[in-house]
Amino acid sequence: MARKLIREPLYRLTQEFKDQPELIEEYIYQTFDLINKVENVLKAYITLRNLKNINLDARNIIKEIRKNGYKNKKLFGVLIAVKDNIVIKGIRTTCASKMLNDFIPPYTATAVNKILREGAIILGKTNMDEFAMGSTTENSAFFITRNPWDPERVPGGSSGGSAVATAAYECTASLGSDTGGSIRAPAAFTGTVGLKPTYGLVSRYGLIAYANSLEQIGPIARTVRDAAILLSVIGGYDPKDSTSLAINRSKLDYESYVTEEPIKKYRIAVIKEMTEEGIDNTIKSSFSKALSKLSNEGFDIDEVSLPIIKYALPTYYIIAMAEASSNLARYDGIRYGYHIPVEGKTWTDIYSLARSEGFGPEVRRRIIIGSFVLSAGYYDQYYLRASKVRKLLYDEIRNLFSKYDVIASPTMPILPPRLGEKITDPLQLYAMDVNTVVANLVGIPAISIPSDLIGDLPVGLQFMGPELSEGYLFNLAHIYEMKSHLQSLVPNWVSAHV
Amino acid sequence: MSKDSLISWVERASKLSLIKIRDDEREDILNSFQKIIDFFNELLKINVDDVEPLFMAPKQDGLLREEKPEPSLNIDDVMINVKEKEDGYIKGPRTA
Repeated sequence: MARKLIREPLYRLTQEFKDQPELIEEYIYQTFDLINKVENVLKAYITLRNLKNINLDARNIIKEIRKNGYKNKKLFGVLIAVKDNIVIKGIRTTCASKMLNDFIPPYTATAVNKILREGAIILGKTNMDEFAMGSTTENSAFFITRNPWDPERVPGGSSGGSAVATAAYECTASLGSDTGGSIRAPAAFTGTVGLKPTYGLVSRYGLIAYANSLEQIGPIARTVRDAAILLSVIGGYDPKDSTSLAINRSKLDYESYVTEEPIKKYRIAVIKEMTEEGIDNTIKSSFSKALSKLSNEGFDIDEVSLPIIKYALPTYYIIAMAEASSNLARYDGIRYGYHIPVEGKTWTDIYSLARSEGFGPEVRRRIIIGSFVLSAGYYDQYYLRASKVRKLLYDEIRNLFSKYDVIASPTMPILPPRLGEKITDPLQLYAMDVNTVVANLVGIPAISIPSDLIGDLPVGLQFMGPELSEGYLFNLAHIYEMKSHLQSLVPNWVSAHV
Repeated sequence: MSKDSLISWVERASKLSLIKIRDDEREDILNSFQKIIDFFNELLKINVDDVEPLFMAPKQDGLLREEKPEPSLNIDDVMINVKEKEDGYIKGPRTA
């Protein structure tokens, strides 16, 4: 039997394909073979493109490099999965909602155009919490996605499909989106690497909006190097997104930061309030072990107290729901989306029926509460106040970064919960985001990497840095990854097939 | 918040957002809303006098692209998502 190409990290695959492009076909075959064995249980994909079209893409990119030269294409021949809230022209994009059940986008997101230009092949669109609202991928209107480490447990969310497809070798890397932890939560729960970039580093053009001041598209991969390569491809200024930052392309070479030696003598802060209340004891002791490893590498670690952190979660939810109520006002069921026949009805009837039937319970809840916190009489008390607390939080985090390079914390406060365990109580579900929302409120980058395995369940370690410090985060994450030997993990449940 | 005022604001917000609440889910929604609002009320404990609100991440380059016409989306690709159409137009309800 041929060597298992699907086990290879992205950075090795592209080198092999450069010398032997014909291996791409074998790699595609192996990936589909694996998908056929595990996908009926894991259900990472909402839409899987058919093999014929994927082979056609492969032949086209090979033809192109034979004609124009290889030109160091960073993702040459690599199969990438894309979260189903990122649009690709002509491929159904649902946001895991009945509202967009049969929506066919007329254009392609900038991040996707960029990966295609680097020779990637899109494998399919992945499951998620409806409109990215959730932390377990149980809020999908279609089906749940299971965790390959234990199929009775959730994979985290909302980018659960992308993380599972990556963790279970159903693709080599993927794109997710992160509004309050939606890349990092599933990365932590599936033993993968996930990064939420600095706000504005990656274009949001073609990312279906949920909370536009908070969210970013980012990479999910099995090694830090792969995530760094993927971010260097999708990052950069885009005239189609006025919030994207004007960054020189030379600054985006994140792979050069993936070195065995530290580029800096990192000064690491641990915020007490992110490691105590609401954090499970197993996570606490695992985090202490992670800190010892970092300290053994010679980095200085200080514990600091930042009491405002405990207000981050309600601040985040007020702002996210307010923005959701505004962003999701576009769904009228007339131009696209869940449709109610217009004959004999009024505009208000049509909008109300389409929105009440097309959106699931959590989406409806967030829109209604979002409308409330923005409504006359409550705006000052909730939305405006939350935006002021956001400023206080920003100032304090910025101040911390005048003394430290990195803030370390557990990514998630708990191990992956069992299916159905959290979904019935919204507040319990929201509490899972306690350590991830800070980076979104403040607009800074944050990475989650595997830091431990407890039993057979992965635990994530989060590093946050100041704006545009992604290179340093990759550097520190890679050093940790090398010392802990926690990269390219194979979940037990899929090991027989990989 | 009293139950009566909770009911009245939930109804108002549901009207504002054009999302109906079904009778069989009303009680459940009211309960979860009450809990979420209590959770939001935590913020009332912080003094925010003289603090400027922050609505977007402050790092912004604010670049705007040049104002020049570009090809727009292909009409057929857009209209494929419209369920009721007539002569290339999107059909909406009759305006009284």
